[in-house]
Amino acid sequence: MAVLEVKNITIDFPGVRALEEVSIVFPDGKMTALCGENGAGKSTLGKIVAGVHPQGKFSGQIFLDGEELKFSGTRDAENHGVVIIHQELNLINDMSVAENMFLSQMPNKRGKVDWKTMHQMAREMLDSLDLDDINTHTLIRDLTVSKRQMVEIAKALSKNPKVLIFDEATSSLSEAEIKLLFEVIEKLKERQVTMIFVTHKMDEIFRSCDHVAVLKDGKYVWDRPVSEVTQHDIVTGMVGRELSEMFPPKSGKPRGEELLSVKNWTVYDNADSRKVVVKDAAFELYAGEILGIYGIVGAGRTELMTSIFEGKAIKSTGELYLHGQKKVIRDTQDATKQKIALVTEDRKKTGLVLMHSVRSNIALASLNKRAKMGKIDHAGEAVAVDKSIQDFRVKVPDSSYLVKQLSGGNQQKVVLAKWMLNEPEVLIMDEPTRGIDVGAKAEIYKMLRDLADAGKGVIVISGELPEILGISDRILVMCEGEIVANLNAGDANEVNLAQYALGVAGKADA
Amino acid sequence: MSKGNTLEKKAKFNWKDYTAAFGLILLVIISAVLSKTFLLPNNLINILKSNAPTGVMALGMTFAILTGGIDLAMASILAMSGVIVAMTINSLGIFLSVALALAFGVINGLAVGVVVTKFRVPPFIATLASQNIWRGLAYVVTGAAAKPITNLKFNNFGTDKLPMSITLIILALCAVYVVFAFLRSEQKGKKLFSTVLLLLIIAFAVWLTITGKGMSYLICVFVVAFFVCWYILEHSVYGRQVYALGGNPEAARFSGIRVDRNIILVYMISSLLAALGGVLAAARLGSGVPQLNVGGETDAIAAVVLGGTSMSGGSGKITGTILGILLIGVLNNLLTLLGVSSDLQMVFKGVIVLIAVILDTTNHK
Repeated sequence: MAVLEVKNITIDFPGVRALEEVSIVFPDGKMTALCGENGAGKSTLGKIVAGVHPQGKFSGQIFLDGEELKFSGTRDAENHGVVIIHQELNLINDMSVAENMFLSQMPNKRGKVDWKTMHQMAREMLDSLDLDDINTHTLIRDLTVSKRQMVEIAKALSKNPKVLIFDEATSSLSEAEIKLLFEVIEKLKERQVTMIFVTHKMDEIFRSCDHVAVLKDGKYVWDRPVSEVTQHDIVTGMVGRELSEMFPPKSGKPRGEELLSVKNWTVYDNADSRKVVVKDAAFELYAGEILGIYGIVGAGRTELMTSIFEGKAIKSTGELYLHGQKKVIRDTQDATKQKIALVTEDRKKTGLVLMHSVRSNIALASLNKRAKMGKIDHAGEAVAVDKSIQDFRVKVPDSSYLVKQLSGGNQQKVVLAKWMLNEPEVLIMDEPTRGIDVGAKAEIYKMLRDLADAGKGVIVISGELPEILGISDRILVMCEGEIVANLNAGDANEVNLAQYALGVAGKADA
Repeated sequence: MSKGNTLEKKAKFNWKDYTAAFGLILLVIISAVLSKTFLLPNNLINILKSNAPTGVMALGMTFAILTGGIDLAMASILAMSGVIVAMTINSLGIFLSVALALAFGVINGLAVGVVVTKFRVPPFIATLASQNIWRGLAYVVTGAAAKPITNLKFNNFGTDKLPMSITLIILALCAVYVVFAFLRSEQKGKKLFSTVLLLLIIAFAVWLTITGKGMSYLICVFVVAFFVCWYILEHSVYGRQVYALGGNPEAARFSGIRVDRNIILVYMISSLLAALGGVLAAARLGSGVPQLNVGGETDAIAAVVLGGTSMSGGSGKITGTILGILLIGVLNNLLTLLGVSSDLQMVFKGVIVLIAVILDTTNHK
């Protein structure tokens, strides 16, 4: 049993007050959802409790069972039974699953690692989570992102936590894995572990959380038992806006000419060039439409789209047409010149140079466009960047701020702004709203619709059904590397999309 | 010092950006107090002249380190380039033989760049191999003995000066440009310090020119090389791409940048500058010396790091590298004037670099 209480927590980051006088009591042995928009301070609060922001960086107090805790760091917090599972994975790629799980406390005999015991303990821990298919000897590098997340959870549990904090832990998990995670969470509730679940996904709150606390702009709004609130209450608390306003109305205008199409498009795995990840795909994209690509994790959605953009960096066969003309795209620069833009799924890894300024990032994809004889047009760039910061409503005092200081939603707007300066005709967005709060989501949806209305072709890859249904004019469903359905938005619903995606329905064409 | 600054956080003046400058000023004051001869124009010119080859090398090293890589082969290329000049100058003449040495640098850089990008060999290893190859070959072709250069015109280049009148005109033009740029700037508060600093540097150069009746060609080449590199990094699309791919190569590639090609170019630049350093050194010494500058790449790395460039790539400035090379040059000079042995000088240098890096990492927290 552990009653966790935070009192008058205030923390300042450069230029922003991330939390202001926040006090919450987390009920013992229960799971409390901590929700709020991005930038609301929910992740920050989780990190303070877990010692990521150590004593001295913030003001206020943390109590566990009535005793005040003053952590000097995460290791100190772990020794007191407070463990955090990060949104970004903290695993060492070239070490095995077992080594990662016991990194800070390897079983040993007088300093010599006891490999047998370690693998045995790791096995037991994984088995208790029903993760029979993960071998403890496998290197993290060889696991999928979602499996890595499960290892991260097992690693946290190996520390026998009294308080466990999930920082948007489900953002890289597939539906089946999320289900598995919630089963694990039920077990932890039986063990009376107090849990904090940092999230902004409504269905997760109602599925598994007992209590919910809402933050807005760094301030405490309210906390109540989940049984006493509705989804509407939570969203209103977070943004003060109705959920139905999330998606902009579809224009209903007839679509324009064909912008992009592929035929017999087959893509091979990057690591193993014999393995087919996308098989004989064919689709067309028209001007003025938003084409949704739905499928579960591993269906080949991302591979299909990145193979078009990355050109020869990825092994693929088939024909590609732009404006009806056959083209070969050599590399990303070539794709950029052909007015294709790709907003990748992982903005921190492949979308942004985090250590550089907002201005450098926004200018990056269109440097050549503005340059004269290879010379940067500093003045023109400043004007263009400032305009796009306004257009995309990036919340930043000025463009010289570093991108790593921004919230997820603002970072995503920076990526989008970067591509828009290059004036693309085809915009591909892979999980455009991953890790983004409700308010920023609505803004991004609006921007995508505006782009389509302006005659661009927009492709949205997403694993979230409400998103796909809300934003798309037409939907392709992928399953095991094949496009299995091509539906007009009017014919699609949650049930038939899920059936196609899971491979339990036959093929369909609009 | 330019509008293209990629790392500025606020438009406000930031003292931390100038740690190397303050370190240099402090060291100059200490040197002036400790040694009576330090501030004599002849000594100052000598510091600049003797550090010109290493300085040119450090410029190239800045490119490599900005991409998160390193070029350990530079000192070997410098030696080999001098040897090439010494061995071919009699048959090819000055122009062709210097061109050959520089072409050697470019081709080596191309090869290293291809090995690094296409075969995914880490730059540390690829350039370490190239370091051994060229140092070894320099010994082999010369029989490990210095090759004297008898071409007087070439040797004179190492000792001659750009005439005073021309130098002063160029410096005056620079001063006018600096003042003009300041007046046009929109962030005068932030630029005031760097503008004053630049004008002081120009005034200092004027003083050196007048007392020395001209400016050494070696120093002129170094200054020109600096301006070219500065222009590339601060004002060209290519420079911006170098910063981006140093900060996050995957994000750069997904932004439509040809990362591999740009990295190959970086090693071509660093290698070319090392070869240029070799030409300067050969002119200064009047011979091609195969054992020249063994371990010299560490001085170049130290200069880059002292100048505030991050070893993990993506951030840093070439102006910092200049301060770094001056810091090292002044330190070496002071220790020599004080009669400290060259062995002990190495120890001092090591300690200074450590302190600088520790200061740098704590600043960035």
